[in-house]
Amino acid sequence: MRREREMRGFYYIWDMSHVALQLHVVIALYALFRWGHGGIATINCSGNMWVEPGEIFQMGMNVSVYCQEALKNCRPRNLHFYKNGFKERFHITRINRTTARVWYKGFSEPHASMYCTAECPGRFQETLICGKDISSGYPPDAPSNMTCVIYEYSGNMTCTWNTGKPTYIDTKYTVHVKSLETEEQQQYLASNYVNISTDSLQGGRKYLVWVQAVNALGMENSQQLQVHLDDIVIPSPSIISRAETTNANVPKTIIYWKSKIMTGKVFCEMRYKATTNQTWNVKEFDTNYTYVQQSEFYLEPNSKYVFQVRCQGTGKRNWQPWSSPFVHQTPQTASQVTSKPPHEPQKIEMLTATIFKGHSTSDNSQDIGLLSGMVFLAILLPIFSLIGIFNRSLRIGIKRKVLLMIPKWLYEDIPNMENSNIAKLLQEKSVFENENASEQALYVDPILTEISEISPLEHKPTDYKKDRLTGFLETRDCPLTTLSTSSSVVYIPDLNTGYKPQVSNVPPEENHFINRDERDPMSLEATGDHFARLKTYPNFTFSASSMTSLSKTLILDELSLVLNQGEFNSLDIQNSRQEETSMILQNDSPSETIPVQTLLPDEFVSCLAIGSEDLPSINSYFPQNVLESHFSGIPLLQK
Amino acid sequence: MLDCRAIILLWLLPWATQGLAVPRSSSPDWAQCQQLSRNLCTLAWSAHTPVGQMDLLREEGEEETKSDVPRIQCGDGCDPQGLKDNSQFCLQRIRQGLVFYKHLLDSDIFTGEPSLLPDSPVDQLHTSLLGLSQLLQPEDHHWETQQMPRLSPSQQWQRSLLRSKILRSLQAFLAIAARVFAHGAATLTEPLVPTA
Repeated sequence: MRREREMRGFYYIWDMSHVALQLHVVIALYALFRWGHGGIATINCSGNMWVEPGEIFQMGMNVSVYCQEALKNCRPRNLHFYKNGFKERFHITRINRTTARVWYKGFSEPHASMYCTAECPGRFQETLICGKDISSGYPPDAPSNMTCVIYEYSGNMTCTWNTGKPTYIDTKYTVHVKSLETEEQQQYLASNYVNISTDSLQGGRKYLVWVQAVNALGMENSQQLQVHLDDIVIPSPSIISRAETTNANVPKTIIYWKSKIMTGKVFCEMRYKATTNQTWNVKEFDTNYTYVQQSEFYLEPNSKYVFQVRCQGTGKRNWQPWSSPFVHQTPQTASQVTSKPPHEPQKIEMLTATIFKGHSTSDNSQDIGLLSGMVFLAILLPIFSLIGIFNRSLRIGIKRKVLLMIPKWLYEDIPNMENSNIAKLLQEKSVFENENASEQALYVDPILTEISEISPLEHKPTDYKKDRLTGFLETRDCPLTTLSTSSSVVYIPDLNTGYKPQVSNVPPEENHFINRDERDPMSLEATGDHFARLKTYPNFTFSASSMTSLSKTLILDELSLVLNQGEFNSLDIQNSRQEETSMILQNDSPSETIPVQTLLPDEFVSCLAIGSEDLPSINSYFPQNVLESHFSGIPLLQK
Repeated sequence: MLDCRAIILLWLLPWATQGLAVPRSSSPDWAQCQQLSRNLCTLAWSAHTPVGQMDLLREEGEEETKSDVPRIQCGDGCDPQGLKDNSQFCLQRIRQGLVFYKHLLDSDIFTGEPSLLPDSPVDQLHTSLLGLSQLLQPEDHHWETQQMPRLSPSQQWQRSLLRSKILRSLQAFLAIAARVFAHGAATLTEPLVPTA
């Protein structure tokens, strides 16, 4: 008995724990279920709503929306309808105790959200019954103008069609592809186009293709299209690679283009227009396409043109699409044309059989371009002539350039001893006698040497190498800006003729002078920022170590030329044969003023020193400040 | 039968222990949570101003279904004493609610037609919900995805009603949460000890 009681107690405890466990599980599952239910995200209908003739109907039809309540604890006084959140006031009919209807005449909205509510006694808020989305639209039109193409290298057959008027409701399009060889049929869902992989078209090369449009209001089929896969390939567009305008009397623009696939005989069109124009000019031609093609145009200068090209293979139905627009700017004038070297000259195949059928608009434009160019030149030439006549500085510049190019004996009034063969022979002989090996090298590439100052007291007339003419040029009265303003026309005087021998009173130990180097006579060097040495060899060169600037070299070359063509008087001739001219340019001694000594009256020299622009380029005399400003600019150029 | 119960118990064990696995050591940035919860309240009220027709609408039996929504209740430890003892229970409850509402904002109820107005603050509300929930995210504790409601697709006519319903519920939830964070910022923030 006792054992039975123990067993009963055990089972009782077991059952109690069993019940408790079951209760926990039920609670847990209930909580889990309730948690996952998400009641806040759902709408509980307390009735029903329906639409006649249907939730989707043809636009413009009369529509009735019914609401039937199924509330448990409410006997509604009224049923209300809402469309898109707004309460309807009219055409509401209470059919019976639980049902009401709202009627719309000629409903023309593509979509409306409807719901109805009940007005329950004792409730401030209306109670939701249910709702519906209603849609109106049209049955689909039969798809038309169906085309199927295969864009080269795309791997797809792309079919497009016109869907007709909008249906306003969800409409599916199904493309049917039926092989004419195997009768196999495939269907593809689409909206208004479809891409069908060519790999899936295994039923030969000929197919029937049509499209079926279906929505809730109807179904329509397009006409069947018979395609041959080889005939519907759209070749990839050509690429205009570059353009160049050749420098000729009449500028000619050449357009180069190429295509990856076009080979053999093709018919091409190239259209072009100025960007400011709306009308295309079209040039048509037959050609034998190999790799790179080119076409020539005579275009208006200084205009921006757009070019596009397309081709059609012989016997093919489809054109290439127009190539991407290629914009080319023609040069302003014939002298400024841009001409690029051919990028791949060996691959360029000339247009072999070109038959131009250019539209009249393109020919006319070329003629107009030629005519306008001639008129333009006719206007410009007198203008330039007048400018040349009335502009003194230009005239002087031209004259100077001409004088530089023609032999001296053509314009010399007095035979210049320097130019005589005898004088040259004597000079060469004298130079030869005094040259050593190092001096020979200086003719090729003068070497910067130390600057030595030669005092007038050291003058030895018997040795021309020691007979110096030392010039001291001040820069105080000539600001550096003078160089920049006068650098366009460089007036380099003849040092042999423009100066009297100028005696320096500065002691030799001072640094203001360029010292003569016995090994390097008649040379001009820019040493640091302060000094320059001038040589008067007929073909002198400057030390590369000090004359690295190209512009500086040009200026000094010009100086050399002028030096050699200057006029000489009898005294200067003698000096030029026996003396060297050395000039000292100094920027950092503004406090010293040394009077200029000339052979001419001072008033004459001052007249010549008015300004650099008024100085003739071949004037034998020049103001110091001109040359000074010129050389004082050399350190600037070095910087 | 016993095996069956054992299996069920084993199956429920991790689920039951998840609620208890609250780290006691970590404490949120109460001031930042307070600021974010205030902003959320403002956004929720600007997203839905309860003056429209939707607020004059009720569903029959909705009083019962309200228990579905995560709510801050007495047993969640969000009272002052509960926060003082262990604020993690309350913070976890708040975080559950934030994640729940963020999940709703992601659904087609808010993303489908009719589209929200371009200047609607719902997007900003979504971002702020995410930010506050991440502030409360315990490290190495990823379980919220198991408890998200599986939402069935909503119909267009339902969405305007559901948006109103959800935003009203969110406003109430955020109001309580903001009070919790305000209390925590005022009483539970540890004073800064000046360094020598």
